[in-house]
Amino acid sequence: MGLGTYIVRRVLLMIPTILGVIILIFMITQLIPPGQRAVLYVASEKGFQKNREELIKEFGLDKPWYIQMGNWLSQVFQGNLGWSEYWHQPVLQGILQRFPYSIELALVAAPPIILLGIYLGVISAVHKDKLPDHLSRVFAIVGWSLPTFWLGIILIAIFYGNFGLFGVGMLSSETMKVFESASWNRVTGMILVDSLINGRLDIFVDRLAHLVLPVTTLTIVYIAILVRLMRSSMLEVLNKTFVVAARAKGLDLKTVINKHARRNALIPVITVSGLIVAGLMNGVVITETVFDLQGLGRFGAEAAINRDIPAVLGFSLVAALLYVTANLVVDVLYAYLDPRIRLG
Amino acid sequence: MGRWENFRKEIDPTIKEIKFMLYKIRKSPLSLAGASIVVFFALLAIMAPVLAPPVYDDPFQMPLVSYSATPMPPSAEHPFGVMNGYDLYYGCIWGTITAFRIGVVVVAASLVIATIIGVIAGYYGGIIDEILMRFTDIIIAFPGLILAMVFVSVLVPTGWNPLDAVLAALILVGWPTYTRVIRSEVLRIRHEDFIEAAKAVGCSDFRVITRHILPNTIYPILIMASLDIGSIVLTAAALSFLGIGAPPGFSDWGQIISYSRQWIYSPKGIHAYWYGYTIPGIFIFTFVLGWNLLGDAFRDILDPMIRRR
Amino acid sequence: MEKNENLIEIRGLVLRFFTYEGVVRALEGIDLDIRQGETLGLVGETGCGKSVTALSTMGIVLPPGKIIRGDIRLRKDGKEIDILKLSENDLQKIRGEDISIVFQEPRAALNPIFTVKDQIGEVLLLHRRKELCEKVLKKLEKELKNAKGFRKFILNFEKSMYQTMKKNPKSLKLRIASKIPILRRFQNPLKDIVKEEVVRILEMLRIPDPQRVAEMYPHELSGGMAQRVVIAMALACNPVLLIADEPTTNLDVTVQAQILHWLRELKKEFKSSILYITHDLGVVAELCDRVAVMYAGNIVEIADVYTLFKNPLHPYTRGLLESIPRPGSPLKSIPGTVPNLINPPPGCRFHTRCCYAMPICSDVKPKLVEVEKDHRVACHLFPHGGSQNE
Repeated sequence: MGLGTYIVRRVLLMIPTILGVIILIFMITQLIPPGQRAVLYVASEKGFQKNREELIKEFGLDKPWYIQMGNWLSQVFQGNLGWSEYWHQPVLQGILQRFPYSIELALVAAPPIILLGIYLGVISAVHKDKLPDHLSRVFAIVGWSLPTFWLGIILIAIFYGNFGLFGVGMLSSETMKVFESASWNRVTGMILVDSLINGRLDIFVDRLAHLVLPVTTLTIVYIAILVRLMRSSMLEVLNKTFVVAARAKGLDLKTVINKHARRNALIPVITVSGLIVAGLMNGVVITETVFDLQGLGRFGAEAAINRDIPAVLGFSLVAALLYVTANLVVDVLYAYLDPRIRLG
Repeated sequence: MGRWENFRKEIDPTIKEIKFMLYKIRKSPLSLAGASIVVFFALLAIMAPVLAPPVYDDPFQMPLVSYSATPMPPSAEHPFGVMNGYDLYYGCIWGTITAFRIGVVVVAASLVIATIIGVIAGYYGGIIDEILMRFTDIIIAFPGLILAMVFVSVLVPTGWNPLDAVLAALILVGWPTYTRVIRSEVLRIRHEDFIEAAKAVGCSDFRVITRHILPNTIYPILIMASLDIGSIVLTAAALSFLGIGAPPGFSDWGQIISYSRQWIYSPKGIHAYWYGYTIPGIFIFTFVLGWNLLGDAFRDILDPMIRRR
Repeated sequence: MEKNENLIEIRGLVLRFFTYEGVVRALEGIDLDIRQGETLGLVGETGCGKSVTALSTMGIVLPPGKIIRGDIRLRKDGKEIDILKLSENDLQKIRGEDISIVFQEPRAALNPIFTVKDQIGEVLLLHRRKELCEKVLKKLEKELKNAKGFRKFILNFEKSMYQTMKKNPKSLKLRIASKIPILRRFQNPLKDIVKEEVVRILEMLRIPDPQRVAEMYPHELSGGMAQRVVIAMALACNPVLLIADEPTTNLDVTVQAQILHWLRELKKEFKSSILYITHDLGVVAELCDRVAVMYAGNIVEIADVYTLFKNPLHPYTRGLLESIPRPGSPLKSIPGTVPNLINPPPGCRFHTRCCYAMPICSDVKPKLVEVEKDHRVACHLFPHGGSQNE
């Protein structure tokens, strides 16, 4: 079975899960009284002003649950996730607007976490029980024990409070004006990319500066899982016969570790990197709140605080879909790396 | 031989293992540190009524000592300062009990639910397994914090006490991960000879499960659970920080830090009101660190591949 | 060179493992010679130190082990090389090229994520890079004669790369180019040549369907085929010593017979010495010229194969031979168990299980002495050796 067939199979397997996710959200909506539930079906402010009784009739919220589920599903597939009172816009619109900022944050945070995590994990395993091992394990455990929001605040206190560096928020006030003006071309929604497209290097740098602290926070906290996993996986592989066999061929230690051991050790780590993606998504929610960023996580968090149910549900639906997709990518990566899985 | 001698013989290898474990704990400075931290906090929790005598009927309610919203720095009367009118010293001390409560309750309940579901799914297989696992997979499809947020925001308006909502949400989010692990352990030993033997002798399903399957499959999730107490407390603190957790005035570390949110977005503010976030943060960090060190040590000790080297 | 000159000489090798439970005295003064072109069998139970000895000849000591003292000498090109004093760099040149090893579990010795041609190719690239570059350059020259325009430009570029590779495989230019997407295609001619070589080696070793096997992954190979591939990999650079560490133990008896037959044929062609480690005396009888018997970290008897079977002297050897199951006779075994090497018995390590034990056996460790021509024993029953020695 080639890689292509494997991908198709995995995508097909994804569909029941997605359906299940949507149904779970629906079941949660059933916990809410019908009057409030109506807000989920409303797509504009006008609709929101309507009388509750009308709304219940209009959307069939007094009918049996399977009919409601049908209604709900068709709503969702048409892209109507309800109206968000707190954000004052349709939920889907709010999500689409803020989605790129979170992606941007995640994409900038992922490489340091992954690369540094793997590197430290390999070092810990190769120098087991010696100083590099102890140091990186302590670093990893400390990082994992820090509350994300607390670390964020501390970093703000140190760098912004003391040195005035790396401000909070999306951009500094000057660049913000440019960003909000009519001359700004919004192509991908990600400021880093758009600033290059718009030819504004200063905005690019400014955005990068504003990303430093959030990315550092995420890295310190989430690198721990990766280091721990990589270390134990590497230790297992280093004990395998083919590693000794590789040495017996005359390969130098560096090649044995990097080419033979590490690639094999990465395989089980990849399978669990789904967890890291989930952690990252959680971390993004908190980081955006602490650092005053306008991403998807912030959208959901503020909505939750203010009991704006449609926004919270819409947000979690999108989050789950993203996570399922991320897991799919991870599975494909796993098949690509391990011929045993691919070739059956 | 008498029953007592038989019993001694049976548990002798276990005793050897425990002795080895204690030896390894003593040898590793990190796990010793972890154990001491946890013990320290436990003492703090037990002595809370003495260290910070309750003022109201509900001991978890932080005393309101000022009606002014301006934070007040640490002083002799209020060693950790005052935020939102509440005495932070009181909040931090009683917050220890809250933290223990959240960690232990959530993990214990998750373990129980996970064990029941995982063992049933693994043991009976077939369509029961399929249904249970599909359901588990769907919950795992949500990142933990986010799903917890959803549950809390939906449950609270329907009348739930916010703190109970947080506990319920965390339990609902926590059990699927353990379930998967214990199910695969059950699958692993389901066809072993000693299980077949037990069934052949006529043991009821219940007996086979409780006396044979459970003792052999439960260790991995116990290890996972010990590691998780720390993250559960962190997630709960994050929920409180966001404002979706404990009710106002409740002694909860995350809550206390959330009071500083409005004060820290200026260079002056973040330094002036340091006590609002630094001190409670140290409590959270140290508490979680202790559990994580301990959990890590457990894992290193109980992991058969790594230990005897 | 004389056929019976020693290829490898091990003298007084002492190796210990430092573990949590204590210091394991794995090897206590091993003396062993491996001669040119011979197949020496190394027999003993699991845990007696055979594999450790084998790995030590190529300077590999797995932690927590350490070589305390001893001498290992390799005779190469008329010179004597002190293995234990070599730097890691020099040891790497010897491994895979002069001495190579085949392990017990065939698929375990192969990296699951690389194909057969990648793994055998790796050994070739490591030790035969210059010759391979030559071959590539020759091919490029031939093509250059008829090439025009852009193709000519590419060929010249590749030619310059391979000339650099011949002189300095680690040059910066090569390392950079191999990381850049389009440029790194210069490695393709080399990959083709390597594949040709691999197929040639597989063919030479009479592995069926070599083209297909070269492209396979280890998990696609059967046990017997995998072991043949591993042996092919070990013989790829024509080593002077091939160490086979129980290569057929994990295989079916029929496959085992095939491989042994195959090895016997190869012996005639390859002229390497073989150190064949096993606990199976039947295999020893089929394949080996001389046999060394090991017990609990010591060599207790060495002789040529006929002598050993006809006239075993050491009580352990005799016990081993007697315990071979024979139809009609009751099963015999050696009483007792292998000693704990953290606290080995004093004196002769076998004395606790030996029915001929004398008081001196628990006191003094017996030395290896020559009892008759080319037959050495370490046992107090033969304290002074034969007429030729004292």
